[in-house]
Amino acid sequence: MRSFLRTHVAVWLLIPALVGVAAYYASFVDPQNYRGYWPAVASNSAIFLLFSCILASSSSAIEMSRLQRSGILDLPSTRTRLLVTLDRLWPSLVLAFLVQLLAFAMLSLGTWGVPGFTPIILWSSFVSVIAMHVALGAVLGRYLPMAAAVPLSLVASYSWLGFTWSVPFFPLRYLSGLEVVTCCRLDMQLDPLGPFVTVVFSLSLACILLALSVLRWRGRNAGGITTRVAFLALTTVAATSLCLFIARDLGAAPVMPRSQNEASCTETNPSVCLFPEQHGKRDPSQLIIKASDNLTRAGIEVPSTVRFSINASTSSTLNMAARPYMKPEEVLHSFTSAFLSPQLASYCGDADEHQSRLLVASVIQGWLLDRASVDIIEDPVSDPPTRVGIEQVEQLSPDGQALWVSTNLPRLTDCSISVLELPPS
Amino acid sequence: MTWWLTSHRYLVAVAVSLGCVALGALLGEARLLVPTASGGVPFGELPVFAVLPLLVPIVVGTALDGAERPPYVVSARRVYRYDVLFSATFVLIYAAASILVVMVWPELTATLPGLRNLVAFIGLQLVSGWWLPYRYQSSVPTIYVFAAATFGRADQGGVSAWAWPLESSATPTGFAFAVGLLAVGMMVSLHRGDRGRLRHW
Repeated sequence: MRSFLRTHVAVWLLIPALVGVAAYYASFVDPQNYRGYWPAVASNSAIFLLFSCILASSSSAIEMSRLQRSGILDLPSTRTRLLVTLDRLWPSLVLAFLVQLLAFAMLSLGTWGVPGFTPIILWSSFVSVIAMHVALGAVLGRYLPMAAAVPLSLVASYSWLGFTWSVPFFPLRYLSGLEVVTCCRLDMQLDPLGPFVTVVFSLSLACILLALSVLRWRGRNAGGITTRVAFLALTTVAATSLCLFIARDLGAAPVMPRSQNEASCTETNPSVCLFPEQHGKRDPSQLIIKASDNLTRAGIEVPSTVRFSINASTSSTLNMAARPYMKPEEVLHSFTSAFLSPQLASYCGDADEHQSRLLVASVIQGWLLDRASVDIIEDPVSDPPTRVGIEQVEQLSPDGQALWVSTNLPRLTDCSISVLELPPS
Repeated sequence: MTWWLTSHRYLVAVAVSLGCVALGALLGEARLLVPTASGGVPFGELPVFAVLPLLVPIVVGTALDGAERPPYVVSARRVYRYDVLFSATFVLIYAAASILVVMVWPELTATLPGLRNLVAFIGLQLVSGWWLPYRYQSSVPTIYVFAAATFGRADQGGVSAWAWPLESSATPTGFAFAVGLLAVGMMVSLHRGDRGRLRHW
């Protein structure tokens, strides 16, 4: 054990990696984005691959470089070169994954007790990404002098993770494994195809790079070297094209709407369908029912079911956006925005007309928010132009206001008919 | 001298330096992005002019490490002082090439920040020579660049003062700092001089 701790580089590189993780957590992580939803906690921990992958590749570059200079690989041995190499490299993989686990544990603070689980495919993708970076470090350590291999392994790991993110060609992102950080709001779930592509690519590349790092170029048993190198090159091309092909339709982020079967609906009017994470602390259903009563009293018809979904609302279902922990203002904002379509108003070929449609849309949303917030929060609308527009609408009678709003709501996205203008002030 | 130059593989180092200047001028303001935790603004922008010049300290460090063999360590000549000059020479080569590029194509704005970074990187490398053998010296500027890219973000979208490798405007202050760092590094290494030999053996 003592010699293990003393001789493996990954052990002492663990300290700076953990310092980096802690510093990053303290400086940049916003718990609002993931707290209270296990798949989001796990996928957000992918950002810490930056640290675990650098640990993996630089420690394996040093290990491989030492192995290479020691000449052990060329001694006669009953074990294969691959096994001798793996015997040096496995701590890099295990300890880098430990960094990833600790980062996940940090992010999971505040989510304990919430039902749900983290997708297994996500963990497989983390392991395989780290394995690929271990193999990358091994190749650099094998073929370059150590003085160059260590800094270049840092550059290569960091640049691969960052580079794939900065190109506008989306399928490339799924090769590196960082793309899952954009997952997920409560009303979305991880598209397993995204991490699956990462697993396939990373594992293939890990095997190819590892094979390259133990390749014997001359001496006995070096026959067929051209065949072997050609085989490795072909496999790389095949794995890359296959993964780009699978990922071609995934878009910018591997998310899809969450299945509504997981939600359970209340027996109230309107019926509010909550995901398991939304029960208990800060259950928004009472607030939504109250806001809906307020709107009904103001003369607006509220659909009979309120769901949390990224789909557009229909006449029978209102689809709200959701996070696990929402403040009352956020619930009300999300509730009233759900009456409008996601793009607010259609563009019907004329920029000026579109501007007036957008203004009407924002006034409608402000008016709904204003009415829904009665006895819940004070002064919900802060935007001055919207405020002025609402005051113009309020010159109408209460029934007239409700009529103006409910007439305009469907017209906002209907280009065949123009919207009712704001009443003149 | 021929032996000394050959043992340092100076041709590789010269080629890499000139290649860095050329490639850096061509890539210009290109940047790598690293995402934030869950959406938001893409953060951790890493300009190419902060990464590319790292190749010069890496190749210089490799050359110095490769030359430091037993006959070198016991040499009667003051080879460790020559090594400091070896590093400094690449600053000169890089600076000459960069200034030439800027004079011919003034619109290639990323050349000067690249030069400032290179000067400061070699400075950092020389300073770290007080503690580290040649083998690990070039890791110091590398780690510094990535720490700056990850943690050096200021509130208003700019970069903190300590994250100077990411700064895209080449100010005289930045150059003064880089040259100062280089001077300190050279003094540290010259002072350590031949006494440093054998320490790492």
